[in-house]
Amino acid sequence: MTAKIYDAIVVGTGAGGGTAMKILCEAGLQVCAINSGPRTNPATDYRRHRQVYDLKYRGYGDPMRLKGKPHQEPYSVEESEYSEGRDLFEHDVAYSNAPGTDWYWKRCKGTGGKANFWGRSSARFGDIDFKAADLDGFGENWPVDYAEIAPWFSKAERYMGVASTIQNRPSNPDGEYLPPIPWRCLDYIIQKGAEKIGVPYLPDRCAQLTVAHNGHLACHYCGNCSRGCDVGSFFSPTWFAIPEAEATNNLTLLTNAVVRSVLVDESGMAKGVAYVDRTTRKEVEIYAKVVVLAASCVETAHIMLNSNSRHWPTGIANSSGQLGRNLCDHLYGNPGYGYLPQLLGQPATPDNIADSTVTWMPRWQNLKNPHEEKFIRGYAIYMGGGCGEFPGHYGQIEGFGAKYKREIKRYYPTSVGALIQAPALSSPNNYVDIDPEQKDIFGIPQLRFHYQWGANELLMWEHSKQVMIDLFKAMGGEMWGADAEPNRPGTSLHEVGVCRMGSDPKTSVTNKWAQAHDVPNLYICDASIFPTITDKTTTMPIVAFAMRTCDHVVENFKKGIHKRT
Amino acid sequence: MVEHMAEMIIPEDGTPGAKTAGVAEFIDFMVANRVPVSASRDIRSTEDAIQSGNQAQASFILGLGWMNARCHAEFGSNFMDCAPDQQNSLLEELAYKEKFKPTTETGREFFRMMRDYTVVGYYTTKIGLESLGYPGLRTSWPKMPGCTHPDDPEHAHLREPKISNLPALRSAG
Repeated sequence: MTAKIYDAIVVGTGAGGGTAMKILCEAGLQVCAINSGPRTNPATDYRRHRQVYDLKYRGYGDPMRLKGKPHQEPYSVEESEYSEGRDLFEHDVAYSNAPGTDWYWKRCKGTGGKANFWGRSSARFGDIDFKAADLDGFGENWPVDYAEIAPWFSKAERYMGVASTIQNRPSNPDGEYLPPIPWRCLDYIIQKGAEKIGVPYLPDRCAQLTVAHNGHLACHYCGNCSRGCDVGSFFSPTWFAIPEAEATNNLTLLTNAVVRSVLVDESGMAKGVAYVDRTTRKEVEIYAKVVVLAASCVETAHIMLNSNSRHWPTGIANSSGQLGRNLCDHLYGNPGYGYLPQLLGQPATPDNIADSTVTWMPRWQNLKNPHEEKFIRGYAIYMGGGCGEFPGHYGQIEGFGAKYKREIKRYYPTSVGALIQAPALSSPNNYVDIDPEQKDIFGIPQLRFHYQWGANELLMWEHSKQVMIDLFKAMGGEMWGADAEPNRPGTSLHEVGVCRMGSDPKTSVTNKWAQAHDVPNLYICDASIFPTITDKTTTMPIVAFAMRTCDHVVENFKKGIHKRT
Repeated sequence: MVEHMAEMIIPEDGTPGAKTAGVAEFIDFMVANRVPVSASRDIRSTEDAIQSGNQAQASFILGLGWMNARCHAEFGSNFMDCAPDQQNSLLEELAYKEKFKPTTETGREFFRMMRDYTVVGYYTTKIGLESLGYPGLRTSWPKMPGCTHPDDPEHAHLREPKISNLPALRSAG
């Protein structure tokens, strides 16, 4: 009996893998999708309108919950007491940090991945990003430009549903949008202040369904988004791509299957993958004509680096030596927070019911002249605040008693804070490789991070702190403080670069179709192909590039470049 | 004593206080299970969590002892047996910078912790969230209402209303 050979294997079921399996299945290909953890079930795994008082530890979680796990670090923001006991997050597979590196690798192993809980900011990249090297001389351009990608951004936006407005800023290209999320009081106040200091304050591009879209319900503003949407009112593979792929009957979905490596045939081409069954700990091989990796950036590089053979002694498709290199992340941190005295004592306002980046300050630096600032390129800031789930400002008020309680309520609508999203430049010192000594509990050699923030992004961080001082002054706010240090690398979950695309096979891992230069039946559908990180987030572009790549895969099947089984 | 202090920090006024909201039970539960709410250290492992929890529990118990010892030294009896104005003046010494006294660092540390636990315990109950008018208690809105004064974008002319003792919004389940 011969083993089944699929047309395509898709490793990973998040934003990239989910999109890939949908497109390949809808084109009639037989697809096997592999997910490292269990099936995510919205009816049990999400917040489901529970309130914090429904939780035993009121959101702090059982301190012993990860006892005995190989990786015991809790993942702030994404992982919460609402999903406690649901085994959605990766704590079985450990990773290493080289000395001096403090990478925070937060992994969701349930189907749909981190896109179950993502932040939904969905701006288009522009030529200021794709051709940045032409402008400032650093690094290399992308192998594609805006004109080539714009139709795919449109496709992704039409598919996902993105709420925003037309803003006419070439650095921040406009797309096809649903009605925007209305502004809160604090947004109007901040906008007026930002205007005075010459900083744009605009509706974000937010993948949240302000109206019903493609058969998905409009948002009901429960504010549970980052703990999972109970009805699918924002794009997630759990509500969109996975059921759509399943509806074709062309999908085989394997869960709890940890992919170890890509298998190659006698000519070094991909012929399938080897995975470890999480429950039996047995290694299994499956075969396909085409392999699509979408395991979430660094994990894709991990699998490829572990795919060493006589053809590929340093990892599959690594003749360039660039596999695992060029790791870039968004520097995150709060460069300034405080309150708006204008709103003191106002009744509570529903500021957080969309749980979204309603607005942002898209990159405004170095637009006219790429060397206007001390740093090159530019960053964005998201502002938020107002009445949230907890009066986090309580620590700013002295005292106790009835007056204290009144003051907590009086300040409730007033607090505002910022989040900087600053792109790191690539550096030869920032990369991932395989730890030569450590293996995880499945016997798979562990991934090791080497990463430091560079001077350019740290200059942006300092710059943003001054901007916040100026902004608070301009908008009549009072500042309480700013983070002393930026967040740990990895916090943003936006890492890119480790399988970068490019025109030259000597300096890049894939071509502009995200097809490995060395192994033409190996494709990548996650952010690892992005050569640079921008001031924008990665998810919508991941979906757009995955759509484009998979259309190319389908074309190649039609042309007979890949042969069906 | 914990219940009494919690009520001193968040008393019943127009809305129920810490006692009605069950804050003392919450603090008992959290301290007994060694769950800190004011720890600033990074938790990287269960071992970190255990250490941090042990430390919180030990400081809390130490702090309760310190309060009683201080009351004995100042007023000749345990905290709970002191007159309300004596209790109040001790908390004020620990709560307000301008009233700080030397050698009360342990007490101030304890008060900070006690206040953190109380505030967390209160504003994570339905009672506490209703007292704020937390809009998320309502889990369905036809649309996001947004700002109701776009004609005054700088919000320079808002009148500060007298804070009503009634919750602004009620839970819709």
